[in-house]
Amino acid sequence: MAKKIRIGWFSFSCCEDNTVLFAEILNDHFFMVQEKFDIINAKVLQNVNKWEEMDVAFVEGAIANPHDEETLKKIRGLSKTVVAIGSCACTGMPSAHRNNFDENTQHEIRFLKDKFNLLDKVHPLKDIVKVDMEVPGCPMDENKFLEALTAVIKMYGDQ
Amino acid sequence: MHGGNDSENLELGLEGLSKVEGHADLEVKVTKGKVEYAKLKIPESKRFYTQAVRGKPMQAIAQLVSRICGTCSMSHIFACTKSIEDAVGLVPSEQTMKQRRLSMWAHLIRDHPLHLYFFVLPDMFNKGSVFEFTSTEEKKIIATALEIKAAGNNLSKMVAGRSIHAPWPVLGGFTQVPDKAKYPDIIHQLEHAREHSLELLDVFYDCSWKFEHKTTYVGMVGPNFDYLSGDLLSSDGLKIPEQHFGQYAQRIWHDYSTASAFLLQGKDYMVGSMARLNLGKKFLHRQTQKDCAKQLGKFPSKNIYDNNLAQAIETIDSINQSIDVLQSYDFKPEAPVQPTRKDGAGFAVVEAPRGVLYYNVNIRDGKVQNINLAIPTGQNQVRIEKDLAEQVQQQIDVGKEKDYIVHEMEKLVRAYDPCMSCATHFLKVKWKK
Repeated sequence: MAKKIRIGWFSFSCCEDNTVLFAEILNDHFFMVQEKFDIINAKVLQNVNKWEEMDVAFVEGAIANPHDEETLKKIRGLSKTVVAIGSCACTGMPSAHRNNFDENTQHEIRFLKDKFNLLDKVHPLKDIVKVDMEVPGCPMDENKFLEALTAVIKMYGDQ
Repeated sequence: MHGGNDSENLELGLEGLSKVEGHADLEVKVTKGKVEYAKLKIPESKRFYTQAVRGKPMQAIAQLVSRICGTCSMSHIFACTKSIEDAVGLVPSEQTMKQRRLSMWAHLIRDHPLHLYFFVLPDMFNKGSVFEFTSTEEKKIIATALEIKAAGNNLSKMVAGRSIHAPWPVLGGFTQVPDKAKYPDIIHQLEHAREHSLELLDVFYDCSWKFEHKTTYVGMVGPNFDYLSGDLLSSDGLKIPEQHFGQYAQRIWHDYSTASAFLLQGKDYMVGSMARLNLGKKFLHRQTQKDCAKQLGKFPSKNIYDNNLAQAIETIDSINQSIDVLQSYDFKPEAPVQPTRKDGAGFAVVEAPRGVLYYNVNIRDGKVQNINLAIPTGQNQVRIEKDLAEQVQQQIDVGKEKDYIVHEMEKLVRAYDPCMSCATHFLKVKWKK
């Protein structure tokens, strides 16, 4: 049996539109994904998830709190390739819109940021860790995602 | 574990319940064999949309609030648009209403099956995920489910431009109309999806899972079963005008959650698919009433797991409704209706797949002053916590073991389908004595 590519799917601060779009992409590609990939960690899809080494981590969402920052670093440490998917992961926006609030609005949300221990600014992934590939778009561009999928199959699939 | 005695004093924790719009944990505390509390904790970082929309042009914010939830984006677009139209006295055309209905039905046809087949079905087959369906027979079920989902996704693309953050709906109408050349293929896909959905319907009808609760069901139902219009009813006999919903529903905050919860006149309540069928099954399409007569006999139901059956029926109904419109109506290019006023307060309720989605918006000089939302998951929160406490108590009383109890907690929360990801699976299970 061919060796499967070990992947993870992770969501941070965002609306998870990329996960929903991935679920739609599976309408046409489910059996290919099932055959070629071993999903190590994707809590949206399965109940047994492992923190183990992966070939590729797909990460959506921006980083808005210290816990997520540490988790992202952990993912980076376990993954050969990190793919940022969707606008929030690639640019921070729109989850990062609070970075641009005026002074009054900043003051208004201060207590919530303190109460829930949020980072002062919201960050795209590349502010925190090295990102190897980006699939931009809100939601992510479907064709660019399929290109990224093809690229990682070339990189890590059986030759 | 050695059976019942260990259940005298416990803290049950489920960390990383796969996402209520990102992330949720469960915590249940048991002292001397009695459940003290159950908490559904939502620690997801706030994204401050309420603040982000202020001062933005009223035409612009539907696309922004769409980003609140990738799963329910279509519901947010229409709830927001409907509230602004209410505020500035804008009445959309009948054609726009038809296109909005098709968009909502498409939303239902792709969203309910995602929950039913990707998240619920693995539990029914004792599997950890949909990827563990590997036998020929199991793969056939998945292929069938994918076809149903695809029909909804493709209908969304045809009527709204995309299924997630749909680009065509705007204030007063749509920027594009469906391309008639695509109808035959889409109708064909929908007919297949209907056939498949009917084949799989009894998987949910025959399901033996049962947890009955006593609560109030709230939903907006009416002719067309279109999730956009109708009367907002409660099973206690209330008929709530949309503009007064905010006076009936009280927002409450928990220290352990970044999302607000709601009570209706001081009491817990449930919104969503089962609430809609409990209140308004008579409004379903005649074909649905005929084809699902046996299954509809279960409603009104108090068994939370019938929410899954209700979703399966609503999927079929949305397919029937969509086929009807596509077979009988030609969309013609039409400019969106322009607002004549620039000021006002607007109120709107839309039935998102998971239930009542309420928007209240204030517009001044064409710009948003503030918005106020009630999200379905928040409205179900108090009931979910009570259900969890009651269910865990029942299971402790009959000496069930931890693994069983924890798995049943997951299933229960998942039945509410709090959000696409919210009700799926748990990352880590902790069991502390």
